Amino acid sequence: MAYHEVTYLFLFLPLVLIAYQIVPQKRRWCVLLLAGYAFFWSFSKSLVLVLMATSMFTHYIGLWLERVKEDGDKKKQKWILFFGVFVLLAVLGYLKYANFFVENVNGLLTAVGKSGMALETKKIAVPIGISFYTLQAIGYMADVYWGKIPAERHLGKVALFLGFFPQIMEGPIAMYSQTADALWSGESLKSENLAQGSIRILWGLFKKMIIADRLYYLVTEVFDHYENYSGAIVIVAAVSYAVQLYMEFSGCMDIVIGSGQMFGVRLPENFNQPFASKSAAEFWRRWHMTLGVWFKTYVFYPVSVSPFMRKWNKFGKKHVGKYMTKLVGSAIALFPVWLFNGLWHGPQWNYIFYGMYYFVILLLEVACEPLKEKFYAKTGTSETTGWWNVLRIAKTWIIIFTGELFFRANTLTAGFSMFASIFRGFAPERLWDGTLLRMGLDLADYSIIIAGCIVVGIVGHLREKKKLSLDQIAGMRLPARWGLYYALIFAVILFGAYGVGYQQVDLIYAGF
Amino acid sequence: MLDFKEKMKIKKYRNSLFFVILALLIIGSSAGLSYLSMQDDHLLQSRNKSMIRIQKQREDSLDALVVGDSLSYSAISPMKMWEEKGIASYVCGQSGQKLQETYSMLEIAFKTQHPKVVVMETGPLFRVRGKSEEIKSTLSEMGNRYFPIFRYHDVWKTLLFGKKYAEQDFEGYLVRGTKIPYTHGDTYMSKAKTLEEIKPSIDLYMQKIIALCKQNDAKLLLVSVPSPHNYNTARCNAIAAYARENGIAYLNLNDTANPVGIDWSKDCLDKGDHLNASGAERVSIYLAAYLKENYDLPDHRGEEAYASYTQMEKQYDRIVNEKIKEIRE
Amino acid sequence: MEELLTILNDVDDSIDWEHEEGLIDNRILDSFGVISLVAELDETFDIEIEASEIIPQNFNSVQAIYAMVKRLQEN
Repeated sequence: MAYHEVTYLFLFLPLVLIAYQIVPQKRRWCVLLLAGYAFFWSFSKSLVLVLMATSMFTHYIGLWLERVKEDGDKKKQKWILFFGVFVLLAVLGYLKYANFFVENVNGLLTAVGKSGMALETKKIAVPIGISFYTLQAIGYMADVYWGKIPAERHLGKVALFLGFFPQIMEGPIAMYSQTADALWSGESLKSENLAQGSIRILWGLFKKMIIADRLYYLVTEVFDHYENYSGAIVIVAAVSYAVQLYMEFSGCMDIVIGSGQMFGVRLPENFNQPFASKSAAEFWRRWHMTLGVWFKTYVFYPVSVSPFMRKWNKFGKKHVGKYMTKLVGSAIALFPVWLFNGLWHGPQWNYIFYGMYYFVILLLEVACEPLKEKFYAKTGTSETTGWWNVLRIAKTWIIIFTGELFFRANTLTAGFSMFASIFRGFAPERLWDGTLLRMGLDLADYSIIIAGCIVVGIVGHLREKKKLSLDQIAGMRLPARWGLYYALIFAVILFGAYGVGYQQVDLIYAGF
Repeated sequence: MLDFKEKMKIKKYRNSLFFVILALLIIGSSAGLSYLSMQDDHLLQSRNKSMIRIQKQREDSLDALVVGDSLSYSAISPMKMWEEKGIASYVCGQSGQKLQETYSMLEIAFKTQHPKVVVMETGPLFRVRGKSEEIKSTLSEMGNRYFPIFRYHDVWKTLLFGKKYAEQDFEGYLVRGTKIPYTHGDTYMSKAKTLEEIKPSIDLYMQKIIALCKQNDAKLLLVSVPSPHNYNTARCNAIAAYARENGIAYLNLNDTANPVGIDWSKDCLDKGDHLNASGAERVSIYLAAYLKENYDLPDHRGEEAYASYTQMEKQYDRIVNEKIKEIRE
Repeated sequence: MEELLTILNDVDDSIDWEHEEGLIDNRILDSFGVISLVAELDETFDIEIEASEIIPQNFNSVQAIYAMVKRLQEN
C-alpha cells in the first residue's frame, strides 16, 4: 500500500479517521500507532519488528541519557549517545548496505585474482522507510543529549513519533519537538482540517498522477536504453526526470502532509519551490528540506564545532589566512554531510557520486563568494537585479538537471556515458522526427504534461509571492472554493495516468 | 444574527450539499462517457473495447461466451468455431484480466445475452498477488463498475486530440501472426511437482462467478489452453481438483498426449506463452467439437439472423488463412 | 559588546549588525557564515559553543549573540 493508491485513499485513511474519532481522546494515540504498524506491515511484513525494536531502543537510550545527566557525567553521556547512534546505523547499514559492501569486496578480490575468497551476498528485502525513521530516532537521541528536549517517559509516544503512518514511507523527517505533542494529544477531527487536508491531497495527486506518472515512460525508456539515445534526447530525459522526481516526491509530500493535517498534525514542509533557486545552496534549502535540516543540525554543525575544527581554525588563522581557513573549514564540515547524503539514498556508486557532485559545487560557491562580491561592486548589479537572477536560476537548473542525470542513471558508468553523449551527438532533429512519440507517450500526453507543469508553475509562483495558501483558499467565497475542489477532483479523475493503458508507478523515494 | 447552533447546522447542510453535487457530477459524467463509448468504441483502448463490444452484440444472439486473460483471445477464435460447427460465440477476454474484472464482464454480458455456456480460460486463477494487491483490484473494479468515468476517463485523448484506437478483431479474437517456437516439446506436462493450491482470494471471486453463471442458467466450463509458460501438471491437477469440488467442468488442453495437435515449433507466438493464429485454429477446431458434443449448441449457419457472420467469415478467411500459411511454411 | 561588534565586522563588514533582527531568518548569515563566526567567538571569548547552541534564536541579532556569549562565559 502506498499513499497514491486507492487502498490508502479510499479505505485505509478513511477507516483510520473513523476509528480515531470514535475512540476516546486518551486512547487515540493507540489507533494511530496501530495504524502505523499495519501500514508498515503492508509493505515490509516482518521488518515491522525492527521498527518496534528501534522504538524501544530509542526510548531506552533517551531515559538512560537523562539518568546519567543527573549525575553530571558528561563523558558517559557522550558514550551513550555514540552507542545509540552506532546501533541504529549498524542496523540500517546491515539491512541496506551489507550486500553493496560484499559485492564491492568481491569485485576487489576478483580484481586481485583471489575470487575463491569471495563472500556470500544475502538476499535481504529492500527495507522501505527505515532510512527515514532511523534519522528521526538519531535526532531524538541527540536532542535529549543536548538537553533540547527532556527524555520521553512514555514508550508509546516515542513509538508514535517514529511510526506515524503518513511519514513512515518517505518522510518528512521531523524533529521530536515538531510532531510528538500534536500526535499525542489526540485532538478531535475538525472539518477545517479535513477540508484543507483533502485539498492538499488532491493537489498531490494532481502532480503525481497527471505529470509524474506520464513522464515515467519517457524517463524509463531513455535511462534504461541509454545506449540508443544521445544529445538532445538525453537532455530531455534528464529534465524530465528532475520534473518527474519533483512532481512525484513533492506530490507525495502533499498527500502525506495533507493526511497529517486531517488529524490536526502539522508535519514539516519538505519543498519550497526548488526550481526558483538561484544557487545550489539555495536549492538544498528548498528541496527535500527536512533532510537538509537534519544534516545541518546533526552533522554539519557538530562537525564544525568539533575539537578538530577548533584546532584547524587556530592553525589556519596563523598560517593560511582568513579566506582559506573558512574554505577548508567549510570543506571539512561539508564533506561528511554530502558523503552521507549520497550514501543515505542507497548503496550505489552513482548516489555517492551525486553527493560528491554537490559537495564540490557547494564548496565552489563558497570559494567564489569574494569574486561575486567584486562582480557586484564593479557592475552595479546586486542580488535583486532581475536579468542577473534569471541567469542565476538558469545556472542552477543546469546544475540540478546534471545532478539528477547521474542520480537516475542505472550505473555510474551509464551516467558518464549519457553525459558524454550530450556533447558527442546533439542530434536536435530527434526532438521532432517522432522519436519522442515512440516512448509510450502520445501528443495528448505531452500536451497534458506541459499544461500540468504550467499550472504547477503558476501555483508555485503565487506561493512564492505569498498570494496563495491553504488559509487563503479556506477564506475564498463558497462558489469559488467549491469550484476549485471540483476542478481538482475532475482534473485528477480525467487526466490521471491510471487504468487501461497506464502502469501504476511506485513511489521513487520509498526506495531510499 | 444567527446563534452558534444554527450556524453549525447550516454548515452541516452545506457540507452535505457539497457531496451531493459531487456525486451528481460524477454520476452525470459517468453516464455521458458511457454513452459516448457505446457510440464509438474507437474511443477506447483494447482492454475496455471488449466491454463495450459485447454490449453491442445483437441481443440473445450468443450461445457461448469466452472470458479470461490474453491466453483466451489469442487461442480461441469464434469465427473458426462458427465455420466448424456454426457456434455463435464471443471472446470477452482482456489482457491480464483479473477475476474481479471477469465478474464485471460477465455481469454486463448477462444483461443482453443468455449463453448456454461460459468458457473461462484458467489463466487468471494463478495470477497470484499479495493481499493488498487483491484489495486494490477489488476497490478499483468497484469504482469502475459503479462510476464508469473511472473506466472511460481517457476518452479526452480521442475527443481533443483525435486519437483512435483502431484494432481489428473477430468477435473478440485477436489474429496474431508471429512465430517464436517453444523448444522443449510436450515435456512440460510430465514434470510433476507438488500440487499447487488455489488461493483463498481467488476462490472468493470464483464462487461469485459460479453463482452468477448459475443465476443466469449458463454452464461454466474451465479451459486451460496449451501454454507451457502458464501450465504444468501441478497447476492443472489443482484446477481439476477445484473443478471437481465445485461441480464444474474442466477441459485441459495441456497434455502429453497433445489432444489438440499443437506443433510447438510452429504454433507458438512467444516461446511458450501465447499461441499464434495457427495454434488458435487448432484449439478452436477442437473446442468447437467439444462444445457441440457436450453442450448441444445449435448450428446457426444459414440462418437469416446470423447473416453478418457469413459476411465476416469471408474477411476472416482472407486474413487468417494467409497468416496461417505463412506460419506453417 | 564592542568586542563582539569588532568580530562581526571582521567577518563581514557589509552587514548592518547593530540593527538587524533576523540574521538567520532573513538569510543574511548562511551556515558557512555561522560556523566561521562561531570559530571567532570561541577564540575571542574563550568559550565552547556546542552544536546545540546553533539555533536561529541564538544568532538572529547582535543582542541574541551577546546574550549567548554571556551565558556561556558564566558557566
